Amino acid sequence: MLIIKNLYVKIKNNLIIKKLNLKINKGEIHILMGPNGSGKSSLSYTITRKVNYNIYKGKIKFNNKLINKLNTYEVSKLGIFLSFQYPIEIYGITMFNFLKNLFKKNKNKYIKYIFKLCNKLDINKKYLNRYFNYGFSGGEKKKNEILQMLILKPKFSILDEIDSGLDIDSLKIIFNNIKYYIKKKKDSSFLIITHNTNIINYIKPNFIHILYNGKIIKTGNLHLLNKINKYGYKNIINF
Amino acid sequence: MINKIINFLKKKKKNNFLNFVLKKIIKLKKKYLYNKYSKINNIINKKYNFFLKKNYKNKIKIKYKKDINILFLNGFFYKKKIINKNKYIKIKNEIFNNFKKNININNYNIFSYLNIIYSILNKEKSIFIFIKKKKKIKLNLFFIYNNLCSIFTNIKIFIFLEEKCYLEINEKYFIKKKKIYILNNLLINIFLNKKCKVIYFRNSKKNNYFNSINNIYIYQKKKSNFILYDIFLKEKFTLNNVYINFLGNNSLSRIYNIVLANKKQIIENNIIIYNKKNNCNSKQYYIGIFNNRSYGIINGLIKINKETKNNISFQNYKNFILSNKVFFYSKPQLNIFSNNVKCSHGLTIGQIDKNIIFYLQTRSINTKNSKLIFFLSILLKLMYNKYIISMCKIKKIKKLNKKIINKLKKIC
Repeated sequence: MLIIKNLYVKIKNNLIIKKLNLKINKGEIHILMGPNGSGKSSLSYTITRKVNYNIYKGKIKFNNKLINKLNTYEVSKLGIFLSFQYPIEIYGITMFNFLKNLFKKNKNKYIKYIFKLCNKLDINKKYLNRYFNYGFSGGEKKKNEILQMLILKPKFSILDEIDSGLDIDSLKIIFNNIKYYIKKKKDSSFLIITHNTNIINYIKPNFIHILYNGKIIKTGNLHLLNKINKYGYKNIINF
Repeated sequence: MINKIINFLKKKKKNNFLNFVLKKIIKLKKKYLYNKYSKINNIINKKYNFFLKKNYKNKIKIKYKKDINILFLNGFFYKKKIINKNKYIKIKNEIFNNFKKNININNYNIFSYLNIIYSILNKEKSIFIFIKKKKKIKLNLFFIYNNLCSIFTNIKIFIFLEEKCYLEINEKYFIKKKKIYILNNLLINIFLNKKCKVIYFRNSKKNNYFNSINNIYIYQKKKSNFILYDIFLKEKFTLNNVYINFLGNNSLSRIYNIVLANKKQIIENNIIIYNKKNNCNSKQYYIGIFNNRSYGIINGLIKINKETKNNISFQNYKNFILSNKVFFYSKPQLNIFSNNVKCSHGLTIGQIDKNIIFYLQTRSINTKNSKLIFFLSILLKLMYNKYIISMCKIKKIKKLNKKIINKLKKIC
């Protein structure tokens, strides 16, 4: 589904990603970990083609289509979704109006569908009349991100620190919904960026990658998480 | 042009009033460029016909609305039509000299003096509207232009309100001939008595050859409210001067400006508020979005007298610049001579928040629509304002907002 080959990314003459290779097949869940400032979020921004994140060398292919020269809108139209670490607030536009515009088909049935999803995510329906993310707590904002994902139904989703700032109950709700989405749409794949090693309690990934200094230095399975827990990033990097 | 008028006046036989005005014009001549960035000179130095004949007839069908309808054709008073006739409204079409005692013209600006002189020399009459106690009235002003040559028009309207009146003013423009320059110098004076409420909508539908200078003077007495809702969308050039005088305690004013400019539009705003009494409250909100080669100026001044107390004044100007060729200048000012006041001014000039656009794009919203959402989120605060909603029908506000959204689509 997503193939990244020999990727070099520059922001104003600073190389932030160096020789990165990654392959994510259909239906796979990948977890991306690494110390702070290693380039995890930058990678997500490059895949979604944020301005100023210039691809200096290399290729990014999604469903055999080169997305190097596409813009963010075109990439999202292909079916790539990015949930933000710090979702923005929009004053003046209500949640309901915003979500309504995300529907592409079945515009008549959206009200029922939004209410159904709100029940699943344990979002109070009163929030739909509030301004988009305005005055929401961290957890509510993250739930809103998943709500948008469930409406947009992307083929590939990047979840940037979706578990940060959440209590245990909310964590369970969010990952249950992700599981529900995977069950419903088996082709969909995920790249989850996280610092939380307990994530295996909620979801079972296929691969775990460690990113350091703009490079993937290690790829493994669940055992790698145990190592990180035991030795920390520093020892793994030096090893 | 101003020099020509001064020379013309010097040759004329003088009376006391003309002498006074002449002195004022000479004094204000240097000042009339409010700041060095103003483009008024380019507009005023074009060739206009001053004294147009009144032979024209109106062929545009107009839907008359409730209460007072006043039509101006090519700058002259043409017709008045009062629906729901009652004794509480008096409209007089008289020479300015008859009423000059009632009006304080010491603090006028140069364009207002020019307007008065024009009417005296041309023996043209002005409109005086008197509204009696406790009446709710709507006033519709229609400005129709079907002239065949470029003209300079001077219109004067004086409105006197008695106690506890409510007045809604609407302006509408009909311009038939395109590609003919028009410069309209409008002078409006509104005198609000105790507990009066006035809301003034200025959503003009003008073409690209229409230039206007608006001078609005408001005199407010005890517990009176004045709201000005200005939308600048299509005009080629406007110089908008608003003067608010608080002459009574506990008076309130709100000024909302929305400026959406593109191509080569020039929009200049000067808003001056004099606080002469206690417990007065004034707020200004200005949102400007400029694209292409548009040109914008906003100057605000709040003056607070020495012996006043508990006055609250607030200026908030937000501006967005979408192209490298835009020129924008702003100068918010406070002149405070009293200790017991609450005043603040805020000005921002910037570009679109790229992070918001990126966020919206990742939700498969295209660039144009995401810009629209961004600006709407800012404009909605003014578009559905509590004060405006409380004073008029929502249908009307929705109509106005449609116009704003249509223009926004062109700019984004």
